[in-house]
Amino acid sequence: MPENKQINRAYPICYYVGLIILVLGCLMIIPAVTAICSNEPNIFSIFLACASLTVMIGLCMILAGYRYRQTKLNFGEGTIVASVSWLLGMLLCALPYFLSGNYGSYLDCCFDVMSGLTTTGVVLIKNLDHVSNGINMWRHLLTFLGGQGMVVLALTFLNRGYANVYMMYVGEGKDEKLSPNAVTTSKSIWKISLLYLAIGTVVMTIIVVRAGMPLGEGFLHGMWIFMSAWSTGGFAPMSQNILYYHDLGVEVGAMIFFIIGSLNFALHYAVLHGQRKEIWKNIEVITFSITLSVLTLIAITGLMQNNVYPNIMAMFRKGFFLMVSGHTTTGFMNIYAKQFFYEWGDIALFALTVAMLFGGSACSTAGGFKALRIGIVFRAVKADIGKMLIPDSRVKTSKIHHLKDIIMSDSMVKNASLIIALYLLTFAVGTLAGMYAGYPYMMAAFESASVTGNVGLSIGITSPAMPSFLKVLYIVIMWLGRLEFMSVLTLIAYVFRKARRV
Amino acid sequence: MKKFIVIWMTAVMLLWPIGIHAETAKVSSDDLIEHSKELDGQTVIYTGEAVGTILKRDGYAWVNLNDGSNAIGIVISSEMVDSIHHMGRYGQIGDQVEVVGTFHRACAEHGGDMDIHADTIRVVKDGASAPEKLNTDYLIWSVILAIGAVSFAFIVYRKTSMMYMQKRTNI
Repeated sequence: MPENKQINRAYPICYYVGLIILVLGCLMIIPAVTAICSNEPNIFSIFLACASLTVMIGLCMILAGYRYRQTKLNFGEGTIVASVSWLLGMLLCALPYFLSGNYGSYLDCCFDVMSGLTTTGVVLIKNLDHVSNGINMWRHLLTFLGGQGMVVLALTFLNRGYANVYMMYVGEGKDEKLSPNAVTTSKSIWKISLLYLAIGTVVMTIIVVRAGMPLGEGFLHGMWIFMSAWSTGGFAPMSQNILYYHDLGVEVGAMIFFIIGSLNFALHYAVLHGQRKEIWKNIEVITFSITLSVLTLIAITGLMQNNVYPNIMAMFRKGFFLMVSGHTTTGFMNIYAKQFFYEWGDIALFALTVAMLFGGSACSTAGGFKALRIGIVFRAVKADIGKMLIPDSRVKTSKIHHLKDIIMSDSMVKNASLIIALYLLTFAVGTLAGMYAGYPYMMAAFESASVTGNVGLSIGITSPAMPSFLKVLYIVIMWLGRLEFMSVLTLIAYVFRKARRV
Repeated sequence: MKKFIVIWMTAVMLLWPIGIHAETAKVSSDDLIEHSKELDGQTVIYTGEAVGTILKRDGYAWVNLNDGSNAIGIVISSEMVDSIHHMGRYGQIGDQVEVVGTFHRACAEHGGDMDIHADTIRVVKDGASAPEKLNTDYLIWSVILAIGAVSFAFIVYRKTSMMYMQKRTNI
């Protein structure tokens, strides 16, 4: 009988994973339409075939688990749905890349899909300057989808009756409830993102056209740059990334959108519902502002010491832009990857590496430790020092302000510290692997921080020529970092438990 | 002897520009990035495929030349724009353009961009249109799979509707 019970628990997981796969398959219609509009018939055929195959796989899974769809998922099952969906989604979303012939191997395709979905932004694509509009649309759509979350997207297609799916939502690394129900919260997240998509596409198109692009091409570039900026993704349609445009307007426009994108969805929701003062009081905004200011100062000191940039404008457009790009975990670049290594110097590279690990806000499109956790740990340290200075008989509580005043508990501090410790451990493993592959310490640490924090800035390690074991490790690190460890670790524990029983 | 000196001086004067040109380094994008400090401010010769779009600004334009490793931004005058006819993109090979100009590691004029300010440009190889040939195998397979997916979706819809109705009847 217990065996029967276990089988039953697998069905709802199968149903929800199928639902997410079905949504991914339907999304492939967007690049297919782009391809046909751009006179790319083969790319259209590829996307039509891949969409059909993905839809069929999703439908099979839905059919298998349909009877059990109302079963309430516990934490473990919710997280397994999230992690399996990301893994299976990666394998299926890589199909169009592989068939397009723009990649050296299927592993490279999977790497770029995971990089897109996790909003990392490091790429292994070959000859990006000659890539079709259809494939470029798919690249940017994946990063836009990944920023909001593919589970979040699938939940928006459910009705409110599905109150049993909150654990899936948590499993994707988001735990803020904008409304009492995970389905309505997901719908709110997508409403906010689509509102910004409309505004951002118009703004970036105007900027890009002003920079010298024709309107049709400018529209696509404007939309893609916005999608990438909002999702803190870092993909761009040309090999030079943001440097291709050679334009201050594009850099400032992108910077504004990736800063907004790195803010907590709950903060967006609060501000859009009239709580404008929340921006100035929120612990995440305060923490992000402080860490960005301090790290930028350190970086600028290092850059000035090495005479890297000739004037304030150059310092702003390169030094400040890249610091904000790194700290928000966006990864837009307006210098060449190797310039970091040959020109920036150790002090500036150290500041940027730390910024990439710190990351943006929780429940946003950003990666890294998250400003909320840094704020909690910092307040806890401050409170502990304060306690030493007051009599034992006095009890002092610590508060943080995140949408409301919250009294800090030990469990809150413990959870924040645990996740930060796991990020640091992952960063250390990535650095060690980079050094094992033959790269110097600073290069290995920089690239490892970039993939751990889902950033996308590269110092030159990530390329089709890098060793396969490093590609696989970086895929796992990006996956771990985006889902904030728990989902993937639960899946690994589940698989091990099953294997031991067999 | 006088004749000999005159011939020598004439030869030196005639060959002087070639001499300067010969001193100008032919560089790749990797050379520019990896030896940027040494090459900063020097006249270089760089060749690459013109990719993307020519970004026209007031009185000048940007063209990005890709030599296979990286694309480098070139600042050209408005008059030079017309000499480039093909830009590299999907389905199109761009002109191979040779540029002679001053290399800047971090251009003070252009916000710290690594660029080359062109003195002269020359198309060394014309680009060409390389339109996509229709792959009929891809098309046939995609149509078969699409018909399969739509049919299967209909079957799943019918089946799940029946399950839903059955459950409601049981209740």
